[in-house]
Amino acid sequence: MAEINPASSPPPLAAAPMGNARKAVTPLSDFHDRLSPMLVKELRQGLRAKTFVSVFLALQGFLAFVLLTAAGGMGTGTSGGGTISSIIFFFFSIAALVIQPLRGIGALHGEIKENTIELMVLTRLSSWRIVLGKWVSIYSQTALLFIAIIPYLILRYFFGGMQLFSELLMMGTVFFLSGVFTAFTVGLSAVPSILIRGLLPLVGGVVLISFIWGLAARFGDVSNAFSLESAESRWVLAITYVAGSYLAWMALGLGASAIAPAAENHSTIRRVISLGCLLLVGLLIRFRSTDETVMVLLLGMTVVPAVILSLTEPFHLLPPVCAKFVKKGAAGVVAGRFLYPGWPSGTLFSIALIALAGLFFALSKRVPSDDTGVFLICTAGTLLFPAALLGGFQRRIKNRFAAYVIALVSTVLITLVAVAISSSMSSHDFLWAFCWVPPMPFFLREVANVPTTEAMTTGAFFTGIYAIAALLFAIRQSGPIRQVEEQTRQYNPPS
Amino acid sequence: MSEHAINVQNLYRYFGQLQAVNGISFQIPHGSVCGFVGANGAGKTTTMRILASLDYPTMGVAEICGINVVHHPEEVRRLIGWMPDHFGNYEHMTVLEYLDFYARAFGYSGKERKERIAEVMDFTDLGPLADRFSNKLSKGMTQRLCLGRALLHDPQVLIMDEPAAGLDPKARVELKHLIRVLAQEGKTIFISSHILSELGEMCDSLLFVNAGRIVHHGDSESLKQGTDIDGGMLYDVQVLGDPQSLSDWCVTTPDIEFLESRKHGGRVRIEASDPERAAEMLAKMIRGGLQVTDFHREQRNLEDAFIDMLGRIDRGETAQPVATPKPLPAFTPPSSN
Repeated sequence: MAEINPASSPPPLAAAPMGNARKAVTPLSDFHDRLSPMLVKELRQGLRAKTFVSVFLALQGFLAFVLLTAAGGMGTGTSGGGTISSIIFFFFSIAALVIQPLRGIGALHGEIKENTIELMVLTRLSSWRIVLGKWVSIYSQTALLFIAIIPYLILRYFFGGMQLFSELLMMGTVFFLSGVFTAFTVGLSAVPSILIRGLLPLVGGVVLISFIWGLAARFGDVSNAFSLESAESRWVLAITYVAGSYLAWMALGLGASAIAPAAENHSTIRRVISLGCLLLVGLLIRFRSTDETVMVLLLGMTVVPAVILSLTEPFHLLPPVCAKFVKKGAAGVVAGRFLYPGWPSGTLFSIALIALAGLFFALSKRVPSDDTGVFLICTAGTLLFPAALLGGFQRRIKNRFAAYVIALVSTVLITLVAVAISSSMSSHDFLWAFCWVPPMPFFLREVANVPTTEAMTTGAFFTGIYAIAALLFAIRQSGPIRQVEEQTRQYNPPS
Repeated sequence: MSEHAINVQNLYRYFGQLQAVNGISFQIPHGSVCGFVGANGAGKTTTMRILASLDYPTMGVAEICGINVVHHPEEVRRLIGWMPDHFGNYEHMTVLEYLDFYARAFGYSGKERKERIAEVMDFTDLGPLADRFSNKLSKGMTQRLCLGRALLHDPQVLIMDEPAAGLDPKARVELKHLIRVLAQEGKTIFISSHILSELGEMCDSLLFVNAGRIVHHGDSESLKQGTDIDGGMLYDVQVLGDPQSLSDWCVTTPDIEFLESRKHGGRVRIEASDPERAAEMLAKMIRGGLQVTDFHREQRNLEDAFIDMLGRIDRGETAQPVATPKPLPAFTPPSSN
């Protein structure tokens, strides 16, 4: 193997060959060496970007105006103070939860489109560091916005009636969720499909604005919930933080694996961590009496993103990726069939993960309600149905993730439209024509009052078919996987 | 150290049904400049991307300084500098900030980073542009910036995909000058371009690729001096009197072929490529009664040679066989979605 030159101490290059006059260049010292190169780059660019400057100035100007108006007109008092709090909450939430995350939409796509991502990949920056740098940059700018509103919160304190702890916690939670949403947009920005990359965050943004509007209108109740007086509110907040971190990590992982060269394996560690999280959730719901809705939420948040990512990974298996598994012999190869990058092993892993989640649910202390059982089966079917569908067209699909999400959203939309039509006809027999659509058995139970056993059997039947179909398509790829494993065994890496 | 800076053996790359690279093999020694020539879609960029560890082969071996690009992409990336055929520049980022970012990304810090940036800026003459926003540069300046970025980590091998495309003549001369200086410093340079005359001046060897296959690998002189791709030599012959006499004489003489009529003579191909054979043939012509006024080896430019070669391939005439190396262990990754 050739000797590799370290980046340090290269020989000096010759002087400017064209003989132009040299200009002394003042070296840059605006950011410390220890900061990540990506963060430095993004901050240099981001802080000059009009979006951030506009949002920052607009927020400052508006909050100053509101407080001055309040100070002049309303005087002090609990009601006036509450109104100011809700206004601060509304505008900060719009900036932190909608505008800042939406800036992530073009984060990776711009680099991919301009061919600059490859230039970065060829440096010592890993794809994870690139994605993290993008995320941290936007999030640190959100932190600047957060810091900038603190003086207004302090001023607001003098108007009286302020629940200092709960309002600060609420703003902190908004700030945390901003990070989660930014991770979503940054991760999705690597997806080539404009439908997924643009439309989903935009629709999400519109939904969020109306949601924030609703929360601001009931600011007092929301603020009370953040006082953490009840065990339930503490529990919900803890889950929000833990699940938010997990989902943000998953979303950033989607972006990192999308820009990573094929020889980098991001899938295995993601699947192992998902499995670990599911085991923790399993232990939690087995040994702690948990509310059924919380239990379903926990299982869903752990399993659904892991399954979606595993079922939609591109299949480019290379010997260097296989090598770590093949070295461990038969056990390694078996593990590889569940953990290799790519949708074929992802399908096996997903089915195993769903089965495990079902097992944990069955072993939990609580006896689930009928509706929950049907809901879980339908959710499993809804996740597996697009995978079974895509199996038939896999050669024609350029972007499996986009195709999967479109199929998933279409499945849900078909169900909702059918339910709406059925409700307008006042006859629910019509719904049986759509019983093959995975979410439908749940609505048969809920809307048409079909007996639980019947709805569950229907759901289980179709979910089983879709699982088998997805599995068969995955197993058909065993040949190429075996071939790569064989070539990995034959290859003698250079000493 | 391995024998070759670049070693490619039986390399294939399929995109679905499209065979972008179709079993090519070649080696480039350390410290040489090799031009990669081919029509659009011939497989140049795909081959270069595989060598830069940005793509992966369907089958075959690609090595940089003896390191397999698929198995050890991180090591390979430290050895190569990559200049893509097109890339965008960043908004809101000056030339100095651009180089500073990449220097940080390549692992430089502190004084060392500043010195390295200053060296690269000196070499590429970017000093006067240090405070200019990188997306406001001309094409020539952008290419100098890209070269500066590629040189930051002192790569042993430079892979340059169409670096002269879209440059004005002055910028081309500047780029050519920079490449010459780099070659003198011992860098191995693998460069593709459509401007063959410039490649001929810069390169020690030329690789011609067509439809994913290597059709010629040799120095530019052999092409320019009229070495036929079947191994013969091309000559321009001028005679006094009726030019038809030359054509008639060629028909009756073995080992010589009349290719086309020209003013006062014609273009002929003499079998075998040794000068003695040419001298013998000239003597034969004179003995045969032809009044030869001029007899010289054809000096074609590279564009003509390339077009000629493509024409022969299109007509189904045999191309010069390129030695096929012994196959190495290969792999065939699946590439379905």
